[in-house]
Amino acid sequence: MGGPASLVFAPPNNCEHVGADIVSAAEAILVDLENRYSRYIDTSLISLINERAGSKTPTVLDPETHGLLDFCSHLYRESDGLFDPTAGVLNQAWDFKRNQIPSDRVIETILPRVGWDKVSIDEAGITLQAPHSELDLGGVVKEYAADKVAALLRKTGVTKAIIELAGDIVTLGVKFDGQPWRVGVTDPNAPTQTALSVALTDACIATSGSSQRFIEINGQRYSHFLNPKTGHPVEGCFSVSVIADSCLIAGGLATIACLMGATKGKTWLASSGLPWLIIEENQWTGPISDHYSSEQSTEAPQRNVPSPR
Amino acid sequence: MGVIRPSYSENKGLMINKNTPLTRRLSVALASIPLYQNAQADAPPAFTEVGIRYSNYSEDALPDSKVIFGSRNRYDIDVTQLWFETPIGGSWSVAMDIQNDSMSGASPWFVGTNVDGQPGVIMSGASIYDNRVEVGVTTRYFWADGNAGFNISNSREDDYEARSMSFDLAWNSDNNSRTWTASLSSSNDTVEPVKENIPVFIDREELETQSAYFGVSQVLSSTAIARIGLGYTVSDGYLSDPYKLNDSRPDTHDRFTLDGGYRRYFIEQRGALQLNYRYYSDDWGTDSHTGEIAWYQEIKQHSLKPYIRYYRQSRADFFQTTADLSLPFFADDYRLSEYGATTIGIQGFFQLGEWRFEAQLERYETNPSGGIGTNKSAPAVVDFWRGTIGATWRFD
Repeated sequence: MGGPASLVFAPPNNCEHVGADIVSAAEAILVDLENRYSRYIDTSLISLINERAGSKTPTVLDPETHGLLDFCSHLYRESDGLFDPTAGVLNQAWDFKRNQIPSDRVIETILPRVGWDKVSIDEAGITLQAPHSELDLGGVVKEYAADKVAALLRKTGVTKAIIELAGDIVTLGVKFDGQPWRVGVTDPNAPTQTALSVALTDACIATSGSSQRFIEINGQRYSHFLNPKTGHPVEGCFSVSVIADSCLIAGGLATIACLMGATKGKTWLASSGLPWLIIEENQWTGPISDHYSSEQSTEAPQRNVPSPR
Repeated sequence: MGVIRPSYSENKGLMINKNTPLTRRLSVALASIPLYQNAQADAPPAFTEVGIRYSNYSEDALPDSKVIFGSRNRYDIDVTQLWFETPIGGSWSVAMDIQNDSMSGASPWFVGTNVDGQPGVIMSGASIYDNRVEVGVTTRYFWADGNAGFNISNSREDDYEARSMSFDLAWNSDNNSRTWTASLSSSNDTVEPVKENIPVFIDREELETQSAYFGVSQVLSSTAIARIGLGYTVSDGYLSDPYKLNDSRPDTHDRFTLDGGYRRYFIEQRGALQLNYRYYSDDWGTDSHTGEIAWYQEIKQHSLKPYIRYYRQSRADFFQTTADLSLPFFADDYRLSEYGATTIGIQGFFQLGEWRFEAQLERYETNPSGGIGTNKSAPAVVDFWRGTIGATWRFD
């Protein structure tokens, strides 16, 4: 899923072999999700769906995949089409490492392959109607995986844990000393420094952003988030973090806010009722920074939300 | 340093508020994923809610041809409701409802025969004014798999007082796809008719009523849910209408209901189809069927619901268009006659920040020949308009 994973927990009754079994089960969950939803594994469900793009052959969906796609549909509607799981093909035109701007003709060639409205989901399964279009669940699977591992821990009786999957973090209960879990938010301008430490109990924090992947056009900095309607990068934020009791919701909101850009993203996140933080070049805004700007802890965080790539 | 918990924080600035339209919609979307279906535990409301609602109920005047004597004008009722609900700790909520009904107008006193031999209504004469105040308090306890509530209420008007209590219980199956509900209620009513415009023949009477309901709702898919329920009510005491001249009803009344519903959400349309059906039968010989179809349409954070309801019933065994006083029981009350009725309405909810506004308008029209059975309808069936406006404020 494109990043490191870590799991810290106390096994029930401090039983080591139970702890080892839980770790194995958590690994199995991640491997299973990777095998089914990775675009880079030829035998994955997503690869099969993408292979059939443009044909009229539907791919049968299991309830879990159906539910995830249904959730994507909600995010698509909530974002007025900005969150689009078919937008990944636009990355074929943009090379952020080389700061290369594609021609309009190249983008216009790819745009017809983009559009969640060209995806049909019914009782028979899913069909990508546009030839050569691609489904990419990268915007939700990592967050979903974190929630799924957390559900496994709860089911096995674990009450204190912190799970991190490449920057998306779920906490269960409190730390072993009875204090809240502490999650550091890295300063995108100084990626080795923790700028803010958030205390979490039974909550999740997800972060999206483009502090390390961006492009400059005429001196203007653009994020690696691409507008699926225009095919061009949006003037994104350095990073957006959202706290919720589901990592999937937190991640979805953070990604959409990045796609909306800072101004619109702030208004929209304010309507969510959830704590959020938007980091622009020299500006930190949102309820999280408002709350923590006046009280910095001296205690080191258990985990850092890394600078988004 | 503040501790962030779902729905709760020592620091309000960092509270996870799941009651905004956006988070509510996303939480509903999560429920279509099997992983989260177990996580939707029952919980007290996250906010304190205060609301006010005003309704006007206005019956059409009777046509001249149906009235033998008295005013053609019928009831006009202004209803004002105030309520609030607030969470207490992590597992309890308390709610209070206050309702005031202000009623004026005339009602049919009895049915006679006019010079052409056709039935016509003799109205109650001068306009009646009455005021009813009802106060109810509900406490509710929530746990992971369900909730239980206890309600007491008192309703008082010039000539009638009702005291009631009820207990209800809802619990969810292990995978949260099924919810069972049950309720029991009991009321004790006292009627002391006001002797003003028309003669009445009782001073004070009592009525005891007990009800039980059992229902189940089942999630059928990520976008569909169905429910079914059975209800039983028994009353014992004075059940006649003291303000009607020819009204003598049995002193017991057993009622049975079977109701069902189906909801299906259409993702692309952002709307839901709602179908409801209710069957009613009692030991007075009345059967009725109610069918309703509604379309709930989301429009951004607002919603609009047009609906149509069709109702038809058979008459009570002792109903006659003109009461037959030689029988043990008799009545000419239009509510006990056979008739059909159609209601057409539209309801809208408008969300503006922490405020939610509502408006509703409905038209109810009776068709005397639309009932079940032989043609024994009443001349004074009712048509009415009802309009409602309201506002709800939620805050933490």
